[in-house]
Amino acid sequence: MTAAASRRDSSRRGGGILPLLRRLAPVWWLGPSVLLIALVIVYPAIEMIRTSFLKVNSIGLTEGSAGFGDYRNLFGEPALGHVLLNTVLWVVLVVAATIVISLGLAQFLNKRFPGRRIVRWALIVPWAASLVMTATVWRYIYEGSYGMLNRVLLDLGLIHTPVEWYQDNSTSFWCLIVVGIVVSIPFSTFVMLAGLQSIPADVYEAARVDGAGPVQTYRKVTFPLLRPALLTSTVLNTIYVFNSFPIIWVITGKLPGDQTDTTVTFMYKIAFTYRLDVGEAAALAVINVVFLLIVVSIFLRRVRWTAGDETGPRGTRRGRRTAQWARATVLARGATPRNPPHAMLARGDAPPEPPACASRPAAVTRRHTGRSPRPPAWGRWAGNERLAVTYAAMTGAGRLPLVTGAAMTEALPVPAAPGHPGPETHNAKRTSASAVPPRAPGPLQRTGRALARAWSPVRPVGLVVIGVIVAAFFLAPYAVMFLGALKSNEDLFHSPALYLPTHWEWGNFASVWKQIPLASYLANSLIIAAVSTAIVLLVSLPAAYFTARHEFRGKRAFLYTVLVTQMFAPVALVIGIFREVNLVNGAVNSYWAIILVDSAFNLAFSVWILNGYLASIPKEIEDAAMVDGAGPLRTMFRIVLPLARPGIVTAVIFTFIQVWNEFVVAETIFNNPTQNRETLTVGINAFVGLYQTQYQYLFVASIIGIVPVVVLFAFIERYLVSGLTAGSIR
Amino acid sequence: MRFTRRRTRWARWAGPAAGACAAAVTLAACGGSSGGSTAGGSSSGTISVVMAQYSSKTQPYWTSLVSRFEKANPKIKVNLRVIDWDTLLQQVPTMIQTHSYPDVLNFNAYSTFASSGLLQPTKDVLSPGTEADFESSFLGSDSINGTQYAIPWIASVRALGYNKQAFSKAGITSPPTTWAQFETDAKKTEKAGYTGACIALGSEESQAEWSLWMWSNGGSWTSPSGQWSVNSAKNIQAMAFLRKLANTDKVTEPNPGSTNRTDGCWSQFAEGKVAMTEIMPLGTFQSTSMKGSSVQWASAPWPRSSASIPQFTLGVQDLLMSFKKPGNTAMVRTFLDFVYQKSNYLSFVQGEGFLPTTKSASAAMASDPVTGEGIKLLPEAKFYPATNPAWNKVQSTVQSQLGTAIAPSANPSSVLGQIQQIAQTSG
Repeated sequence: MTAAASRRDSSRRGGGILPLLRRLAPVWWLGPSVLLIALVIVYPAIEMIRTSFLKVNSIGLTEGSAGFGDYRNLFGEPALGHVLLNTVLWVVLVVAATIVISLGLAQFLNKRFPGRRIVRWALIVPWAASLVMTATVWRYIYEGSYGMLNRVLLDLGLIHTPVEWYQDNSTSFWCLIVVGIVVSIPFSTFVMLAGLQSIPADVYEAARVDGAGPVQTYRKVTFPLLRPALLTSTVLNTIYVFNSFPIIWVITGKLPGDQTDTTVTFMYKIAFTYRLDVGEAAALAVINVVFLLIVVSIFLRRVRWTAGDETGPRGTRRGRRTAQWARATVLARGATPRNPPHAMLARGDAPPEPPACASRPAAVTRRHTGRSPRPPAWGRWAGNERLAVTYAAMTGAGRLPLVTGAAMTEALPVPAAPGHPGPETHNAKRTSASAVPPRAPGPLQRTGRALARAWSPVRPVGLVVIGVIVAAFFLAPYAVMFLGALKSNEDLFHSPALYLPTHWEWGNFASVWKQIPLASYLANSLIIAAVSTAIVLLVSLPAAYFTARHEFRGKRAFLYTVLVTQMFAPVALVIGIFREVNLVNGAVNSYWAIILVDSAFNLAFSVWILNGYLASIPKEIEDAAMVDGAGPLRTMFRIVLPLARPGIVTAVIFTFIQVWNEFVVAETIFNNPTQNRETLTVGINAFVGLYQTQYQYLFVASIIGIVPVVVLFAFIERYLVSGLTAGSIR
Repeated sequence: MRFTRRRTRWARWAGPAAGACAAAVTLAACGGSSGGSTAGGSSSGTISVVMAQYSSKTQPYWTSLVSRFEKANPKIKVNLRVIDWDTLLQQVPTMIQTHSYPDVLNFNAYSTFASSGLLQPTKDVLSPGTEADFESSFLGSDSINGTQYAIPWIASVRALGYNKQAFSKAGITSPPTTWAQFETDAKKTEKAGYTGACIALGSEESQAEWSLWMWSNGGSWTSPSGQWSVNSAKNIQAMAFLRKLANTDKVTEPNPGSTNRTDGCWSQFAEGKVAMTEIMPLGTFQSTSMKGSSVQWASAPWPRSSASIPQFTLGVQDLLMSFKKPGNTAMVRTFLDFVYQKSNYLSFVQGEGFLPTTKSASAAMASDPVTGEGIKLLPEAKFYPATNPAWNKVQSTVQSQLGTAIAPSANPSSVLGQIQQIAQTSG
């Protein structure tokens, strides 16, 4: 062992030459992250609570204490009951439908059929696209006499006169729920797909050997192993859907009344459009945050519980056989990466040194032999109880949770390394598993087999047809957007709607630059997203590296705090952020304020994903580099960072997209058209309005905003795939 | 581009005016004032100007005016933004809450800002010559406690527009003058295949539609003593009449509570689907909303619930105002004097098709057939209670809530009562 290595070891033990400096090490490494979180998340939360006890007038001046006046006013709102009911309906219906549909969709996408990749890509589009833009096109679809939905339904003979879908009280809320479900499906589907694909083939094999039929296999193997993925997507979806703001705001936000408001949009209305009472809005925001905290704590407890008893009683409860299969599988494959070190960190336990060490050489060996040169793709642990932790880390404050990268890695066809049968092949086998006669076929199994027999000849075609339908469904709104972007004003407002422009107005792509200050929107979004991403990387990398490599007091607290910040979408704290920004001279509408906020809210994803990557890099590699004479910095830049590159790229792209799509904070604190201070999402929303909405320009701008994001997704995918096939060192 | 008294989508890139400091481009301006700080303010520096968009002509008009102004006054730089109305309605409050005041704002309500001490008196920002040119009929609603804070910008009047083909098809010979006739005519035209009456209670400008119905029943926003009376018996009665038209007679469009004028009633009217609706009998209505429409239409005074209620029109006045910011007074005065120069002002009012608020422009436009008619209507015009400090909030509450009162399941007196309560607690 070199001197450097032994120093590092001794530092971990807390002894050594400069114990004080070393004890302070967490401060240097984690300080920036802590500071950012304190400044942009903790302080606004406190300020928000304070504001809820202040009387703030309609021009934003504080007029002293209100006692519980703000809360009294809030509970006196005649609309509150209705709004609460809406919120419950919104969360329950959207989450439930999303989970059910996603489960089916994930199982479908887990099958192998021509064009599957395209279907998956189709699913990515609504996920990657900004909600503001997606909601805008849905608004157009739901319009009355010139709406696209009406045209379709009229053509199908389902209705005879156009319905004003989003304007009519009896339908408006349901319109929103549909959009909420459609945009939530991709995330859940990819989480579950990752879960499905991470179920080791061997488990199915074991099940088959034991004579389980397809139904039994599903009930006893697939579903239990998928449960963590289900739980994760349920909890995270609950948080996202609860915090969902743009869909409601864009589609029905400007209608009179509060028919479709949830507590989140109602809060914003109270503060900024309707009561102009920031104090009362803060009171509602506090209540929202309390609700979120409850959900988050349920989630965290669940995470600890599951992460803590891998070999505990749950194993038996889940069904001894499954557990046995799983264990057998793990043993058979000698697979170790199912114990991602960072998942343990989440528990705050020190990763037991010996097992970790034992596991590393195995990983190294596998890398060198090229048998399975996969970098730690978090999605692989999806079937593991740890999934929850990992996903929590990956899922960001926004709708585009971290899992993105991970799930995609797993979800998109990865060229399987030779000799390493991918789970997909395995699932294909599973379908044919019905051929193996089960010991005592029950009626259910008989039906299953009959269905399977009927299905198998049409299967190749059937899957493709379903795939086409699914892809078309998810892409349809964007097709409407694209065609709308090419319509003239007359075509756009033609009643009934026209599917295709009568006259292809390509000139819209040129005139949009004059019709709206699109160049300035794009420049602002680009500056804010790029700088925020850089800050996030600079701040999160040291924190992630340190937490991945060192044990210290407060590590668990730090990682949990980061995780919690992830749960609070900016909208939950927007009142506090607004107040804070107003306290600081010159912060309103300044680039630095919005950049700091966006950075803080995206820190968690980055810390967690990088932590996972860095922790999975065998320390032996670093030590070897040191032995070869590389200094710590050189080791960092030449060895560690290149190995963590897929993680870094994913973090960078994910952060960039999150910031690029951010709406609420920008709408509130970076919104000054006289200075050209508007981002793309804010600018686009500004075009959606009470009067005649010039959708064609909105759509042009949206397409310009969506395409780079989709391309970036493509980039993550390509990078990860190539990273997977490349060797890990040099 | 679509019509509008004020609104096309396009202008929103001008947004909330900049922060005082942010508005100023130069550091010097940030330092504590736009330039120097002599008593009347400096005559050099930067001012931010937020104007409302009325039509597609608005932006080019202001761009050209500002460039001419800057050429004539090289020491003053103008940060101009033209913002469409619906965005403006949402952004002005935010702008105020973040203390990001513009130097000059074009808006439709000012009382809250004035009573909070945010505005400078107009006598400071207009030279005596400019000040003397305004029609005195506007000034009453622009002054609070004897001090004028708002500057009349443009005006419009409202009337009943009707489709002549629809009337002749339904056998109606003359436009309705009473509610009873209105209801009968709406039923007849509905039977003839039209939407009998299009009622715009959506959030765009429901205060205008509602004022017409309220006043035509003898109701009012405030009692003679100045107390709010939003939920007076007469007003509830007026809402009951609208509910009858919409829910019992079913002679209106499907969702009057969320229908706006420009993209709702007026576009349907232009397509020949609506028999009667509230319109602006002005050049701008003809040149934008009715552009390319083959509908034969005419306008008539608003029908009243009984013949004893005198004929009236709704006058809507849009305003300019200047926020107090250190050192901006002289620059604002230079700018506003330039804006109200007869040729500049006339070209705006004529271009947009509104009624002028200055004597010189009125005299010049009196001979115009359409505008002249409108100018003649002004004496009988009734205005919103714009001097009441609560008016800003009442107006935004009406826009965001009133439309719900017409839904079949709604309780109209509780909706009106809610607005009344907000009016009282804000006043």
